[in-house]
Amino acid sequence: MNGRLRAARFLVDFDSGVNVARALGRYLRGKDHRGMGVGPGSRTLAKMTSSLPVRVRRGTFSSMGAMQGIPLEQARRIDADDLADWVVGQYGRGPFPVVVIGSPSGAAVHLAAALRAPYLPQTLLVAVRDLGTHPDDPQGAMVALAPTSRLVARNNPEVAVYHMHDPAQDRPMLEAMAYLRLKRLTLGRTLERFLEERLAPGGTILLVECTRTWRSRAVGERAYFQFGCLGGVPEEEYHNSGARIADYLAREHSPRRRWEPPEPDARRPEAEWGFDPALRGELESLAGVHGYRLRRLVTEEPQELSDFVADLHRSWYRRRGLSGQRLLVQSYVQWDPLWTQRLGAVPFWIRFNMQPSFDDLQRYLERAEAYDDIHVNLFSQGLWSPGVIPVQHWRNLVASAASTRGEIIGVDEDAYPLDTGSTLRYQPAFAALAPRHPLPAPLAITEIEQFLSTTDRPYRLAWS
Amino acid sequence: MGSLSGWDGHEFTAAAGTRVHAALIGPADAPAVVCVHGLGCSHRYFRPLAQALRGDARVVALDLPGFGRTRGPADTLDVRGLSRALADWLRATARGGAVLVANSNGCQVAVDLAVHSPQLLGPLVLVGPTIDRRARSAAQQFARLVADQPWERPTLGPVLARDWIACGARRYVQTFAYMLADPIERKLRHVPVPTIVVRGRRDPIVSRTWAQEVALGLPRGRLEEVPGVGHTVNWSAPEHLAGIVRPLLARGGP
Amino acid sequence: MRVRDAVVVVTGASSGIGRATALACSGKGAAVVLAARREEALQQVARECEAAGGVAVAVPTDVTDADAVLALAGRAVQRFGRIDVWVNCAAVTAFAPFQEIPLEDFRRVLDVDVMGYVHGARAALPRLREQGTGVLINVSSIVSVVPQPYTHAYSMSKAAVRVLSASLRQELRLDGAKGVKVCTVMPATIDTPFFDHTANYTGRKAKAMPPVYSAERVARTIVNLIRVPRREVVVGPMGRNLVLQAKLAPGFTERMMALQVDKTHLYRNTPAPAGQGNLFEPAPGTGSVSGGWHGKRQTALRRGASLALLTGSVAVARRWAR
Repeated sequence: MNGRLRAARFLVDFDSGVNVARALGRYLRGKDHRGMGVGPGSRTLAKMTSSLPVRVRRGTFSSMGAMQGIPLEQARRIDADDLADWVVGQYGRGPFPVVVIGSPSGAAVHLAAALRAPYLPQTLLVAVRDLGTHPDDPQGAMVALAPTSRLVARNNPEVAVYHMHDPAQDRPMLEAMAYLRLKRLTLGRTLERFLEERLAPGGTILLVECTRTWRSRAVGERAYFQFGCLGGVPEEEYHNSGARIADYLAREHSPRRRWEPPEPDARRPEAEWGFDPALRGELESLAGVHGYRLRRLVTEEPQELSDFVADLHRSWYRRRGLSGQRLLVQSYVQWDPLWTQRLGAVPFWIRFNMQPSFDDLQRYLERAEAYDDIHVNLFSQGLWSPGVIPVQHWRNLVASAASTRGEIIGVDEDAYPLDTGSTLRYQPAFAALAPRHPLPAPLAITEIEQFLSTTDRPYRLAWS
Repeated sequence: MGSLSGWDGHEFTAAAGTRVHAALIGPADAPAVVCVHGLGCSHRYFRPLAQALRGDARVVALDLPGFGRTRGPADTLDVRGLSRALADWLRATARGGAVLVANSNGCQVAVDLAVHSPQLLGPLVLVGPTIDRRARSAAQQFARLVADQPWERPTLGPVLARDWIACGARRYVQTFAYMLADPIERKLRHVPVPTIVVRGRRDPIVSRTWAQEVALGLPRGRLEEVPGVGHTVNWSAPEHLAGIVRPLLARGGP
Repeated sequence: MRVRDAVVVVTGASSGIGRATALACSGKGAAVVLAARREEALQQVARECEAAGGVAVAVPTDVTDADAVLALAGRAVQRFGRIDVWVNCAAVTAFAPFQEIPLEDFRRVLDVDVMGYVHGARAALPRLREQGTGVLINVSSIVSVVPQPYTHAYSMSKAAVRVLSASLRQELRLDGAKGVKVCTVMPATIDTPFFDHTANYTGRKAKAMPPVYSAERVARTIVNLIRVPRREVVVGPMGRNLVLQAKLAPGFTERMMALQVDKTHLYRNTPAPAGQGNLFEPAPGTGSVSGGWHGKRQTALRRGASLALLTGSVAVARRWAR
């Protein structure tokens, strides 16, 4: 099997890094990001799948996990070069004025789309089949996957391997697979060549850095185990699970009532969203050698870019004569920059569907100038993880914040959060909104700098 | 297993450089009677005698190495080898001094025992002691064996056939050669214990003259004849033989 | 040699083939001497042997200790007076990519699987030769003929054992010890706990590579070998086919086996932590014959399928003939 095809098979379709590349790749080729870029956008199909009984839907999430995972003997064929090949294969020849590199962020996706920039994610997710470990046994999972993590790390000196194990949000997937997030520490020849060939001379490298760290434990050279991840459960609660987790585990019919994770030995970049600064040094010297400009957009949390990107879009639209009064809230990987721009809607990205994301949106809506219409689309991860906010609360929030209309779109409210049709439904829901606007001319970096220098909003980011 | 084979139990002892099998009948606390079989035979043909004595004695019929259920060495044991094995077994099972009933070539083994370990002997019963001095050739012995057949109970045949198969042709022939060459008459004077020589009246293998000679050669021997039977008195007239053995039990002991 | 009343020493008697062999011999009335590391498991097997109709004594032994193996032979003679059969069955394996296995683990596999057998043979043969009769049975494996990837030390060991048997046969012949036989048994994949306890550094759980045959089948073969000793016996029709195939097309067979091991000897969907398994410490518990790989059921299914195929093709052939 050719390397790129293999990479496509190995990469997980619902991964943030993968969807960054897919969405931008398609956007730059004039296509939308329906079905996460791999499936259709079909309301009918969506309705069919989400009307299945709960057990079946829950099972569907699990089997999706099982299908995404690669058989263990294929682990030796995971090749960071092949994955890099796949990423650059999403994009055309260019040349591009800007290339975005770094940690994934939905807000940054919209920013990159505005800049007409390819986005090279530092972190990609590969999953291996795992029917042997239990979601609530992190120690067992760590030791069982350690040889495989080490193997992948050994075969790929350019990456660090993070075996991420989260029984709160990822539970259905975890029943059938294990997550290995590969974080690039060096560019590697393929991405270097991409920059050389496709970044316009004097172009800009925009480095998106999320400094979020998490407790993890080394299981080998460049191989780590991380228990838990960003979501509705705070890091501390993962490592000292209390009553809320006990209830959750009881609801999920688990044999355990608390988690006993292995002792962490350091704080390292968070597996999915964190940026490993090892890459920065190389990019700095590359920029120096080739005369690129390096800009850094640094945040502590991935969604801290959301209000900045939303306001930026609003000001950008208004400069082009659009009202900028429609807010389109997109969650996790159900983003679609093409439709966002077509609708002239302001994108607000929420990382997931839980309390912290709810708070972020609430804070933004309180602070920002009122929107006329607010549409919220919610990702379904397949179970009532602790901290998932029910649809009604979201509706109440946006209904009270919007001047004209605040609604939930693209969500089967009876099925949520076990809405298996969610990925099929979000883009048609966007497309159902009116009106249409022509796609704008690309945003320039200088416009961002100008926006940041003139705004009085205290955005939680650093731009340099 | 015991009731099926007619014996109460089977005993295995690590002795004589092998694993010696013995079959048992009778109460454990009764005085012991050890039965020593002849060439190509085994414990099996002592069953009728054992049954007859079961009320009064603990009858133990062992298999000498290479016969019955006791595996023997590759090199066939001669008479001394067999008697040393018997001695070793008597010591290992603490049965030295028990009443010893031997048949046919087993008598040669028992008498040889006296030469090197007389202290292990108890009251002795030599049933059909071989080999008649006047017929020490294979041909003669074979002819006598044939002549003996009509005087045995027909049921003996299948029992012995099984034992011959277990022992194998090579061992049979070699042991027979040793038995033929064995000068039992020169050893009789070493036997310190009271001995009864038993002869079936119809026995062609052991002639009356020879039997008398044996009885006289023993320091404390006497002859008893059993009417109407041939060589294998223990099989063909067990009750009678039991009657001869029984009085020895009272006198017997270490 | 008759199995009844024979004194049979079995190493590796606490589980799998060794245990099944001990039970089978006991069932035929042999006296068995059980050797393995786990005393608790051995006592359990001893009880089962006695229930099956034999006599048994348990002697906890680590076969890598030459003195311990000599003591084992001594104990057998002390208890039963002789040794008729010695079955070398104690073996361990390790699954690992070649560069990943710690050298001490590699050495340990060779130590148990090769030197353990050597110690056993050295302890048994003088006795057997003195007695003039006896059977030494070395349990090897078809991997001695068709090796497998990831189990280098084990494959090497089983090949070594096969050669050990041959060399011993030759020497015994030259020494004129005609009554002492040395036999090699080469089982295919057998349903035993062997795969649960292996050292494993592949990151993937090991399992029995199908087709799986029951340990009792190997035990029956060993009992038959005691009765009629033969030089080498393969157990399992697949094994026999494989041996034949290896003779006819060795390169192809080697490649085919590599793929088969990758796909079916290690799980594709169940990871396993790295560990030494039972190399240095025996697995806890009282052991068992079967490993839960359904050897008997698989055999029954295979036979049923063959029968169905046969009757089906016969039916088709008949139709055609009309």
